Amino acid sequence: MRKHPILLLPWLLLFLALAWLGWDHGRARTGESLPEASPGVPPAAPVAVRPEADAAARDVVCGMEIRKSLSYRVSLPGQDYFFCSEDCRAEFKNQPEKWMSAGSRRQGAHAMRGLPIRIYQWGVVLVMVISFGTFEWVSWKRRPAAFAPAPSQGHPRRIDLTAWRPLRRSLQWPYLRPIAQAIAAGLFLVVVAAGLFGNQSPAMNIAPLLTWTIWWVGLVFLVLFLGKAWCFVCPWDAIATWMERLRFCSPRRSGLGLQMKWPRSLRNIWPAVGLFVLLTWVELGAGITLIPRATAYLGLMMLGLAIACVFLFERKAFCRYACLVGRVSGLYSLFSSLELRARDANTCASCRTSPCFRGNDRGDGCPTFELPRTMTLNTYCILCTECLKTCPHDNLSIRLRPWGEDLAHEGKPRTDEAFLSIILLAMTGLHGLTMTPRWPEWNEALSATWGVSPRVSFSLLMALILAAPMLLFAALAGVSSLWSAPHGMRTLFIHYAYALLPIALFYHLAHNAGHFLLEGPKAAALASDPFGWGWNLFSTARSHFGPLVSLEGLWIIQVGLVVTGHLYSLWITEKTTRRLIPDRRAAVFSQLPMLAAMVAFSVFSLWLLKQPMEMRLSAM
Amino acid sequence: MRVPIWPCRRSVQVLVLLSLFAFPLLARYRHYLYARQLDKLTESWSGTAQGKLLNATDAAVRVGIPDGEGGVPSRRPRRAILERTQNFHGSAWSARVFGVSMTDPLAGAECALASRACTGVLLVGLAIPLVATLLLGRIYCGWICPMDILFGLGFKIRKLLELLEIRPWSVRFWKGSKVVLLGVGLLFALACGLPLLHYLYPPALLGREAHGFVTALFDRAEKGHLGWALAGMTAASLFLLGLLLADIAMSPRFWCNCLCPGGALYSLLGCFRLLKVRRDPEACTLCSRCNEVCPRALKPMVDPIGMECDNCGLCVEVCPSQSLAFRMALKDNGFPAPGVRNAPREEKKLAAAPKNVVTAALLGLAWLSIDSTQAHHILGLPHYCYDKDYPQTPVLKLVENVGNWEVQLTGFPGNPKPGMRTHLTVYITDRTTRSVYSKPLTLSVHRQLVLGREERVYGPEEAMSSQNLFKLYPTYPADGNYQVTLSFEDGEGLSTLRFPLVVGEPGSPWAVVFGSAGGLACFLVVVRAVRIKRARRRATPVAVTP
Repeated sequence: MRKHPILLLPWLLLFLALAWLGWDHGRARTGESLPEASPGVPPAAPVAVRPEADAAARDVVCGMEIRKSLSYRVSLPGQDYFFCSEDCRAEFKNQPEKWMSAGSRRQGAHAMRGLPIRIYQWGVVLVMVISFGTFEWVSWKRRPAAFAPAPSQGHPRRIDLTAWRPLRRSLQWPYLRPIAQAIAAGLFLVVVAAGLFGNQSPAMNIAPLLTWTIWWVGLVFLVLFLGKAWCFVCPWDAIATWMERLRFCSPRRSGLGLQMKWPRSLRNIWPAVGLFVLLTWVELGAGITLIPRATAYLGLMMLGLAIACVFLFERKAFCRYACLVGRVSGLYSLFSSLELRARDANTCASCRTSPCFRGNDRGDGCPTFELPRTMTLNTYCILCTECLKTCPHDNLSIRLRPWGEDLAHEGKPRTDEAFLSIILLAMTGLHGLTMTPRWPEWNEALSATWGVSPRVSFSLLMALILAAPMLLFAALAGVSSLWSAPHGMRTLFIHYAYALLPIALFYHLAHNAGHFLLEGPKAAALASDPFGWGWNLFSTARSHFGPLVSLEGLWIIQVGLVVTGHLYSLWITEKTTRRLIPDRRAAVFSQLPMLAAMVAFSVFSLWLLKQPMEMRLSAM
Repeated sequence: MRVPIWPCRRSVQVLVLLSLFAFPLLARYRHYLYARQLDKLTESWSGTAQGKLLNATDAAVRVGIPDGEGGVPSRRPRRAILERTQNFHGSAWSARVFGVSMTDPLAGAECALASRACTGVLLVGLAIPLVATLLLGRIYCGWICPMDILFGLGFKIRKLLELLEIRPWSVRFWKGSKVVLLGVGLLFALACGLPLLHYLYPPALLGREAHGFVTALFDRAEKGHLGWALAGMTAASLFLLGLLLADIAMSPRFWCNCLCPGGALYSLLGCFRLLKVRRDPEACTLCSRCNEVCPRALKPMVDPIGMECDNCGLCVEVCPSQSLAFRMALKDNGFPAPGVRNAPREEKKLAAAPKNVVTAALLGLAWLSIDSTQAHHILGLPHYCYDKDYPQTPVLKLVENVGNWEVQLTGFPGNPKPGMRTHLTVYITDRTTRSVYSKPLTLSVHRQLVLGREERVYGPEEAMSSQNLFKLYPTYPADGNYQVTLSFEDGEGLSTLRFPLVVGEPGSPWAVVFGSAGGLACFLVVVRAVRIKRARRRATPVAVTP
């Protein structure tokens, strides 16, 4: 461990974030007393939505629901007011009469306050300083000896987790994955049933919250630390595979499927990219994050696609080519701190049978058509652990590594993956944009000026947001290619696009951290009454769980995440430049436009976080 | 020149089937017209299925009658229309069309035996069918009975299943069982005075179901439920569906050939018919296509045709050498082709015995399930509101506790229809002191839309207490899920409560669930068929060229 402290960084950051959350909870917030309300204004009572829930209160300024112990307080004679942040309190103190009388009217939708201007400015300054500081520093200290791409196998900066026998044995136990999948499948079916038959109010049904606020964030969060852990438990693939094989665990002995070859023209991830764009459109354009039934339909649709593909095609072609969740998290998992690789290249070289690819009586061949013995990238590995079972030499391992290793080295850049990474950036940004109060204004303005329906204008805006980063990035790659001979713009575009992944990943987390930390705790109450039928399974249905963090704590976490992503993007850009352009002067110049792109995207992320955000379950 | 037999036959059957639905529709139209409600109802139902049906009936009935009545040229010729509508009555069981009565001989026989009387009216009604059957044989089965369409469809489905590698059984039953059933049924009617066979006779069941369906469609519409629904259908529909499924799975037309009591009666009556299919052995090329197509499982090429034949003409149509033809004759085919006579029969009665038992049990169960009673309590809620619409309108009663307060919301009717003025009553008491809340409260109603949005349809309305109750009268615009939001001053602050409310019949997710399950099943069947065909192709040895 002393040799590679960089391995500790992800866990250190996680610890820091948790410590910050804890400190944020313990931090004492000052209460203030205002002497007397102005005469003539009757003191309005704060709205208690559920009187039993004494720990929750509503901020009369922004309408947000907050936890009393985490809030700022203003005591008026006979009445206490609670605020999410200093800023709301200041606004209240400026015009107490206005807010006291308006208090009872501000219900339903509310906008969460975005980053205050000072934190935003600090963030931008930090991004600038880091960009240019790091850039200068790295450029000055460049040592040509360090350029050689590091081999993935036998790399020193790894910790082999499967060297620990109990873990290895349990991963090789054929029932481990099916049992985990059975639990996930059970949960999935409950969520689908809740969405279909439960109360259709999104605040009283667990399906929308669990899917969009917890699963969709937790998935990406898990990628950071555990790689594609979701694929390990994926219920869609599990149900489809059980149906096809009529067998609980691997290997496949016989099946009901047709085992066709996946069409050659579709052997890329464009199907998944298309599905991802479609999903984003449906999610935001049709607003299904708030419709339990539509959420359930979407889950069933994914299940249907998985079943159709398993029955028609060889192996898990769906997972490799068409599953949008797998491809999105696959690209992100290039950054992950977990990898599955062959342990010793010499053992593999002497292997004549390749059961890791072909399968044997202990497990399937790689379901995503990878050759695990030579695999160097995480993208298509779904961590199904079949190769751990099949390898007769126990030569495969799951290892810890520093963040971003796959991105830092020469991978196998592909056009479809490069486009997906930019689309990821654009779509996460779109998520943020649609929740700002400005979005409906733009949407309405466009639909009014062009005389089109709101849905069409949404699609147009979405296409614009999809195209803008691509065009910007292509233009900058074009500028960059002036210095980068012999590599043209196309090469630069594809190679540098991977460097954008950390920005997209960490912005995704920063944006969703708000949802997760502020709205996520409501899942505790919903777990007792998942269908909204008045059950109380764990006797938590009536209790009210406030946000896990105060708004100010959240802002720090968000800025921290964006800056971390930016830092990693810079590092990867630097590595990419070193690989592509050996000449130092040319490298510095060609790197500048890319640097501009990074800064632009990061500052845009911060700007998005600065906007007030419409919360999903505000009506709760 | 050859007359196209099949199109004629099928169009007669379709006409009969349509008239099974058209006659009750016409009766309903007549009813509204007679009560002078037609225009009002078509207007209020415009755009819905019921409105369109009434309009179509109106247009069809008025063909050939000039507009104008009582000196007003634009007025609907009400009297002439009413007179015309009187020309269509009944169903496939017994009908009067343009004053001509026709009764199914089975109905006549059962009726006469059960009542132990044979009235003149019955004889008049039986005359035409009896004479037609005596002369032309079992033509009711082949040319009129609408079940033939259904079983034809079943035969097509059998072919499709074979294409999909699902091999349906081919069970052979004893053809005499239908005569036994007929005899038992008629004896029972004679002995107990209780006609039972009409519970089994598909054309009668189909007619009754059609009538029930049309009646329920308009009855429900009068109460405000303007949708298609299966209300009005009884378990007889399940029985017919079961027949179709058994027909597909067991053997084609086993019902007509082996079990139908009506078919048995027509066979017996048509025993000495004049119109017969006869074969010219000189021209016959022994291609045996006629044997394959015969829906009655007869073998026109080898056997005497006998009394089972319904003169459907399929064999005549299919014969390539035109050796089969309809002839007026007293005698049957008496001259089998030489050497074919002793062809081995494929009868396997013994092997089919267990399946016979299964089929009989299934049919028995299906028959037992026939029950035309319908529950009249829709929501299963008790009815408290005796002052209005007694006794079948349930009320909605929801209770929620806030602090010490107990809030009770009562809605009448419990499941209101769109557009009607409804009652919402709120009653709030303190649970500890038993005192009644009497300060004003605010109530609003939101419609929950598909996109998770809400649309306010009522309020916020401030209500004053009157005799300890708060009464409000919202009207809902459409079927759907609504939320009643109630705010009142509970001493500590403003409390807001939300109550769910269902108006009309909002959509159900079951359709999607069943649809996707059906789609999945179809997909799996196709995958299986492809696998089997592929395996078969692999197993067939490839022809080796020398």
